[in-house]
This record gives sequence, C-alpha cells and structure tokens, in this order.
Amino acid sequence: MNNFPLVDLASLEEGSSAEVVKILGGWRIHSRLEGLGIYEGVKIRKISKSLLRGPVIIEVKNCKVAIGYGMAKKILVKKSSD
Amino acid sequence: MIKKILLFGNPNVGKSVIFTRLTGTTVIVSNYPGTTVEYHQGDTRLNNEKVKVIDVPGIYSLTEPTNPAEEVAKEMLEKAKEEGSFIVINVIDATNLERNLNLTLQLIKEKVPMIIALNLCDEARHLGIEIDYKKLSQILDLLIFPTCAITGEGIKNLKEKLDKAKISDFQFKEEERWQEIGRIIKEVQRISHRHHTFLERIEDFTIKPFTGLISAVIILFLTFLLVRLIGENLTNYLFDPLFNNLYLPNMIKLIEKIKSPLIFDILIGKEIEPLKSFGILNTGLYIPFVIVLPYLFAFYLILSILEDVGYLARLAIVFDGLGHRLGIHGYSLIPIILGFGCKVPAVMATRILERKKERILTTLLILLSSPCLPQTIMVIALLAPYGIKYLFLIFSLLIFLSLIATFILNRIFKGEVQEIFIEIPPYRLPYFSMVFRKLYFRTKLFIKEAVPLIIGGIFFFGILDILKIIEFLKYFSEPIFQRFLSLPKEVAAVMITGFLRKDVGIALLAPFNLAPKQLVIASIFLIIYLPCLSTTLILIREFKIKDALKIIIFQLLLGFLVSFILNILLS
Repeated sequence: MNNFPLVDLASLEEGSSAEVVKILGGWRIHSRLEGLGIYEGVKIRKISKSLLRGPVIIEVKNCKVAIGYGMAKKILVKKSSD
Repeated sequence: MIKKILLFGNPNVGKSVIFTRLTGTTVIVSNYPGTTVEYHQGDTRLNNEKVKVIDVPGIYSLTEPTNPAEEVAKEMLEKAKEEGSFIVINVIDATNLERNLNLTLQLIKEKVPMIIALNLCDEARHLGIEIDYKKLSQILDLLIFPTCAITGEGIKNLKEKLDKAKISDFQFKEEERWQEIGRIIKEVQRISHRHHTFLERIEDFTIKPFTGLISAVIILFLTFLLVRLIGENLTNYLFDPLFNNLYLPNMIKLIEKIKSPLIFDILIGKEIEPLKSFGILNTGLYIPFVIVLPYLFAFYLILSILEDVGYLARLAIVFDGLGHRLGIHGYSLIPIILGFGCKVPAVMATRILERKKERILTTLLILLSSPCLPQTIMVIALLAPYGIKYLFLIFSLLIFLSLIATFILNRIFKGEVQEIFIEIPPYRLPYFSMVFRKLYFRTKLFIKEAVPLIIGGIFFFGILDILKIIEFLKYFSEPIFQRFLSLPKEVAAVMITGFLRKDVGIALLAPFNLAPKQLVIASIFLIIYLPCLSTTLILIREFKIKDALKIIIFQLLLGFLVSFILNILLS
C-alpha cells in the first residue's frame, strides 16, 4: 500500500505511473473510456501534460491515448510508488 | 450459405485495406481515426456466389454506443442478425492485441458466426511483439488468420476459409472482460525489450505541448510552400497552355459553326479570354480545371501523405486546447487547413464533426480565417510591392476577426463541445498506392460535386449578364463603394465578378491604380463579404438554406462593417 493521495489525471505529474481509482460521471463517460481500456483499476502512465487546457496524453495497455482536458479532470488516479 | 460479410474492427487497424483486397473496390484508406464513419460496401465472390461485403465503421466498443460510428455499427450488426446468413470478420491489429480483444470479446458475447484476421503481423514482429495465434485461436474457439493487408499476405487463406466461421463457445464474465483479456494476453503474447526507434522519438517531439506546437507551425508552413510550388507549376506549365493553346481555339472554331451569337455568348462568353466573361465552356471550365484543380491536387497529395503517416491526428491533439475555447473540436483543424486550399472541399470535410454547432463554427472559421490559396497568392502578388506590412495587416486582421467572431458566436450558440478522446496512431511510412488511391477519390469527389456547381453558377451569371441584371446591380452598388469605402465606383463591377472567383476579383483590382490603403480595404472586403459562388452552393447543400443564409448574411454584414471601420481608421 502507498499513501499517495487521489489526484485527477490532468494534475498528475508528467511521466509518472498511476492507477485509475474513480471515474466521475455517468455511463456515457465510463463507456467511452472503457472502449479504449480505461476503467477503474487499470494502470496507466502519463506521457504529456496539457497545454492551454489541451488534451492529456497517457499510455494505457501499450497504446497512446489523448484525453480532452475536461474528461481528464474527471478521472481520479493514485500515483504508483514505482 | 453466406450472403453478407461484415468487417468489424477498431479504427486504424487496416480494415479498409482488407475490405479493398476482398472486394477489389477502391475505398478511402486512412490512418486518421474516424475517417470510415461513412461506411463502404462492395461485392466479393464466394464459391461462385455474389456476397455483399460491408466495411463497418471502426469502433472500440459495441455495448453502449457513445458516438455515431458505434451506433451505426451496432445497427448494422442487429440488422444482419435479423436477416441471418452472414458472418463477421473481426480485424485485429497485432501491434495492439490487448485493446483490440475488447471488441472481439464483445462480438463473441453477441453470439455471431465469426472469423479473425490478425492484421499488421509483420509490423508487430518489427516491434518485438510475438503472438502465439494458434493458442489464441484455441482459447477464443475461433479460426485466426495472420494477415498483412498491405502486401496481401494471408488474405487468400482467409477468403478460402470464410465458411469455417463459427459461433464461439468461449465463456467469460461480462463484468470481468478486461481482466479476462489480461489473462489471455499473458498466455499468448511476448514482448521483447527494445530501444526507442527513431520514429518514436519524432512521435514524442510532435505531440508534447511546446515542441508539438513548433513542429505544427513548421509543417504547416512547409505544406503551404510545397502546395504553392506544385500547384503554380501545374497551372502555368501544363493546364493553362493546354487550355489556351489546344482546347479553347478548337472549341471556338466548333461553336462558331453554329452561327448564333446568343449561343456563342452562353458557351464561350462575350470575350474570348477566360475569366473576362461568363461562358460555360470557357470560364466555366477554366476555373475548376485550370485554377482550382492543380492546387487542390497538390494540397490533397500532401494532406493524404500527412494523414497516412499519422500526423493529422496529432495536429488535432495539439490544437484541441485552443479549439475548445472557440467552441470547436481538435478535429475541426483539418477542415480549416483544407480551407487554406479551397473552401469547397473544406466545407464538405466538416462532415467529420459530430455536432451541428461545431460544424457551423468550424465553417465560419474556414470562411473567415484565411483566403483560399489562389486568393492568397493574388493578394500577395498585388500588395507585396508596397511592403510586407500591408500583407501582415491583412492576414493578421483576418485571423483576429475570425477568432473574435467564433469566440462570440460560441457564447451565443448553445451546446457543449465534444471532448477529444482518440488513440494516437503510431507513425507509419505511408503506402503510396493507398495515398494515390485516396488522392484519386478526393479529386474525383471535387470533380463530381463541385465542378457541376461551378459550371451551373457560371451559366446562371451568364444569363443574368445577358439580361443586363448584373449591370443594374453594379449601378445600384456603385455609390455604396464610393461613399462608405472610399473606393472608385468601378470597383463595384469587380466585387460582382469576385463572387464568381474571388482571386480573379482581387486580380481585377490591379488596373485601378489604387493606393495601398485602398487595396487593403478592397482585398479585405473581397475576402470576407461573401463566400464565392461555388462555396455558397456547397453551403446551401451541406447546411440547408436557412443556416447557409445565416452564415452568408453574417459574412456580408461583417465584410461591410470591417471595411467601413478600416476605411475610417486608415484615412
């Protein structure tokens, strides 16, 4: 167990790995994210932060995905200790 | 008996290429997620029977549709299930097995007869990904064929075994779909460690915020230079000489035989030189084929390469942040860039946007943010002798205006902007046969959809001209130009020609010996006041008359207002 607090994906540090803990919002956002393999419990790595509220880029399951800023704000993650 | 084949798969897995290989029909193949929202259909022969093949839009998920492509895909599957006698070919990207299996498992839950094409196998091998497809086949209880769609490897095997498609007996808990996939991946996939490739380094550079922005500006600038170089040379050394030396003299000889001045006026025009009057076989063909087509061809060539390399998706990502403030989507950038070339295909390209608000705002940005390429070149030619500051004034004013206009309209129009959420495809070397196929399709679309409109529009103007209605309009608008914009009254005539071809309108300003300030005002007015005739017709077709009129009236008011204010400020 680690003691890192929950942060949203937009605020997560660039380059760090994390686990998705909670996705805020209704079935639509859950369903959209799930299609590309982002669901509660999945491990991700943040590749690049957003510029001017542009999209956040993460790597999930060996694949790079761009997520709009507003959507990234709704994804709560816990930083992994490694 | 198989009567129908549905091709299912994620976007960007080479599904369209497999479709083309199966049917032999040419389709647009692209590296840009989402291009296949318009689906393609073709025929193939199986045991001497004709079988329908449907290229279902690329989707990530089937269970709860969240976008039009998924809705379409789900409907197609439901319809096939009702009709029966169908199979599904699930195309899987071997370089991305884990994510692709999500859709596969969802299809298995649908209990449909299917077969799997494991595509991009050679690329996976290059990346150090090894897949034990025989084991995967055992687990999923389905036949799997490794394919390389581009070279055609494996497709013949697949086609011969299509009747072996079956309903899988593979069982799993729906709530644990991703966990199940994780277990399968552990069993069938080995990834050997490797170093970052050169392409991956470029990938990082072009996607990170600051370097991404810099590379975008450089790439767009190079695109512009290249398009101008290719387009200008094609026009000057190939299309124009062909038209003026070969086509036109012979056509005139032919039409003179009819010995009817009226028919001659309609077909060739009151003057023989192209663009000076409204002949449908003269100006009507000169505009689309000699002026627009060469630039469009050059532009589409570069665009198709950028698209297939995988750069356009990145460009959309880099500009998404800025776009959201204006009420548009990152994808909107692609039609806007198309608009640097010609507004007609650009407005047509806004179809990729899902929401009406995004489409209308993007269209406004297309129309206001930049003149089309032939216009830009005319403006540069006309104003360059007076120094760079006037050019700078015009182009920055246009960008400023379009941003302000969209920003304000974004506040007025209701509706939220769709968040961008896309997979970033890896950079790939483009396959030139695919690039040319796409180039062919886009050019064909322009010729089929836009050329008749241009010719029809010129015919309409020719009639107006013969009926002296144009003269009346000129007479009526002369005082407006004189009083409010401080332009000579003859400019009114130019503005009316400008509706036909704006670049020509700008070129026609040259003989008036206008002062640079007047040139700036006249150019700005010409660029903004109306979309050109062809664009107007396309707007009406794409948006229905009501919304098209709104856009056009907005432009007209803005054009007068800005030129009027500019006239006061500059004097």
